[in-house]
Amino acid sequence: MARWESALHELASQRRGRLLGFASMLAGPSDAEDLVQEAIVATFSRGRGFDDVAQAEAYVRKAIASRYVDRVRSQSADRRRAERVAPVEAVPDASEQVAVRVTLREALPHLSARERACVTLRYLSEMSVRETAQALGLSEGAVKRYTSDGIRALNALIGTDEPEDVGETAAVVSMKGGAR
Amino acid sequence: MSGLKGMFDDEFRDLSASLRDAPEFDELAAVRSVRRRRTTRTMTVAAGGVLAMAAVGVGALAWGGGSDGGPATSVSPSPTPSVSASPSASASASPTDDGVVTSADATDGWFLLSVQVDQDAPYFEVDLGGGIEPVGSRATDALLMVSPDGELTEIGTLDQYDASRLVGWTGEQMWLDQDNGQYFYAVLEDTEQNRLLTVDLESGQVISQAHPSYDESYAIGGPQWVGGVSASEFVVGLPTSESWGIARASMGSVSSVLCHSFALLAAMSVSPSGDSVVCFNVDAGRSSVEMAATDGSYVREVADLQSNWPTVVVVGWVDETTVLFAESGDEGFGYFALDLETGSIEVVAVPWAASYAVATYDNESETYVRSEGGITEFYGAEGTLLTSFDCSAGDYAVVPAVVYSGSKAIVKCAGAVSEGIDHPRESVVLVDLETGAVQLLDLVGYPAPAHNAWIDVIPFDVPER
Repeated sequence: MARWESALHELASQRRGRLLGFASMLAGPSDAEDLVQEAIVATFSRGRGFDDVAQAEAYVRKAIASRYVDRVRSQSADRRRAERVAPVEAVPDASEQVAVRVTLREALPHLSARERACVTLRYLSEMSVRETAQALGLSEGAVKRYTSDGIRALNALIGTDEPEDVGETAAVVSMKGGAR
Repeated sequence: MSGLKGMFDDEFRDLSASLRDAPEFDELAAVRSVRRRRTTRTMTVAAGGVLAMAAVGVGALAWGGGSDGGPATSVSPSPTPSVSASPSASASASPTDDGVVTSADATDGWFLLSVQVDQDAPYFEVDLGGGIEPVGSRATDALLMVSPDGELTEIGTLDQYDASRLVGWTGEQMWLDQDNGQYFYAVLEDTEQNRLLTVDLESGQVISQAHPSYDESYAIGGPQWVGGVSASEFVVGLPTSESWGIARASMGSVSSVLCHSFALLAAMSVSPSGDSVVCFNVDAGRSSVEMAATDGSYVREVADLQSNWPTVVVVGWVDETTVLFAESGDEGFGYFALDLETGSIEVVAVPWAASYAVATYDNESETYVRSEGGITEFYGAEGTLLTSFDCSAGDYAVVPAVVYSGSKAIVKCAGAVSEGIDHPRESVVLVDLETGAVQLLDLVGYPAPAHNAWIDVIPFDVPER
């Protein structure tokens, strides 16, 4: 057995539940298995080395997130529908916000794909705006907007009072420069 | 953020526990898929088939996930490479367990390469002893898959489809440009002059022929396929005598021009997702930058460069809404990042000295590439030199063409002067953008290196990039 095969087995046996859980929160249970499978194959196909299983899990999580957003992005013909992944019901309007209280699991499908990815990476992976932007292939401004919108929606649905302001800033490109 | 943070943690813990023993995860299938992508398969180019030119920055690997093979080894190319060839795409066998690579195996990191030769002219090849020998052992053209490891697999020819050029390749399908050879100075209103073929690679059959038509007359060069929206809708660059336009070519219908750029600059680019295009319209005192949706839903001016007759080149995309461009100055090109949502422009510092040799940036690998004085250099995201190699054409420093796929790039170096004889020889170099390893693809057995032949390379899944 090649070393990468041992590593893949170790990851799958020790972290399978965590990866599927992460993918489920990100994309819903119906797409979680495919996303995990694809992300593991993609990660190990690159021949990348890992220090330990936790680092491998972190890479696979990023691959799951980026593939989830790529899926939505690539469905250009169905973009409008895809942006409202699994719209079980319409998002309650302001008048319903007091009366309707749902769990996080029930609330997440009401978010758009990018909102869901941004808030999940923020709260579950504790990724910064910049890290999220890099993982999802979005601009940092877009990440802030999606995160803020997602938090606002979750506050309305769950009844939390989470601050919507996403204040982190970072350079727009890795090679930094001053204002023109 | 303890409220939502706590809820996310609780939900994650519950889900992870409930899914820990989920039987649906197919580890065996994952291992097989990874193995197919990593393992050398059908291609049996003698002695490895590639000449390792340099191997830079191969990192130390720990734990079990490291590379099995280590850095590329230096191997001399054989003058008589043995290439597994299938006479047509339809002859390709199953990719699963019989050791045969087919187009369906391709994913990010793969390329499709075509070699063509003018059949009416003689062609020659340099042998390893320094002489020039006629070459005729291969087909006059060939379509070759290039794996991330530099392995070559023939999957057919352009000639069998009466086509002239590669346009796109998704592994399962490819698109070929079928023109009548009258590009130059032709007025491309005749829809029969430029057809797009869609080929199913499993069957080898042409499954559709499209005849894009255009609502304007284009005088120079003909349309160039510059990106894709979907299998049936492509984004094309349309050169006229005065300007370049980017248009959406809906198959079988009239196209709509999305935005224009000054003809001599052609500073325009399609975003990574294909959703939008940006055009730098810097002509006759204008210096506006326009952004348009490839579905034609909007076009808007996003910035004014406030410049006077600059030369502007699109360097690449940082992400969907940030484009890098270079603008000429007194001492060379300066680099800038333009936020297409806000119109703000920031200076981008680059690690090389001011120069008129413009770099390009690939957002997926986060690498820059530039060529100057015949030397091609790749830089990583933090500005570190990833690798460099000689890509000169003898006494000439020709800027090479670079194509990206996943963590790989192919550099097509121009012809060279060998043994004092003007003998243009295109060489094709595969670069690993993570390790910096460089391989020279062994195309000795093909006629492409001769002066009357040429090579085209496209990445896997070009319509979506």
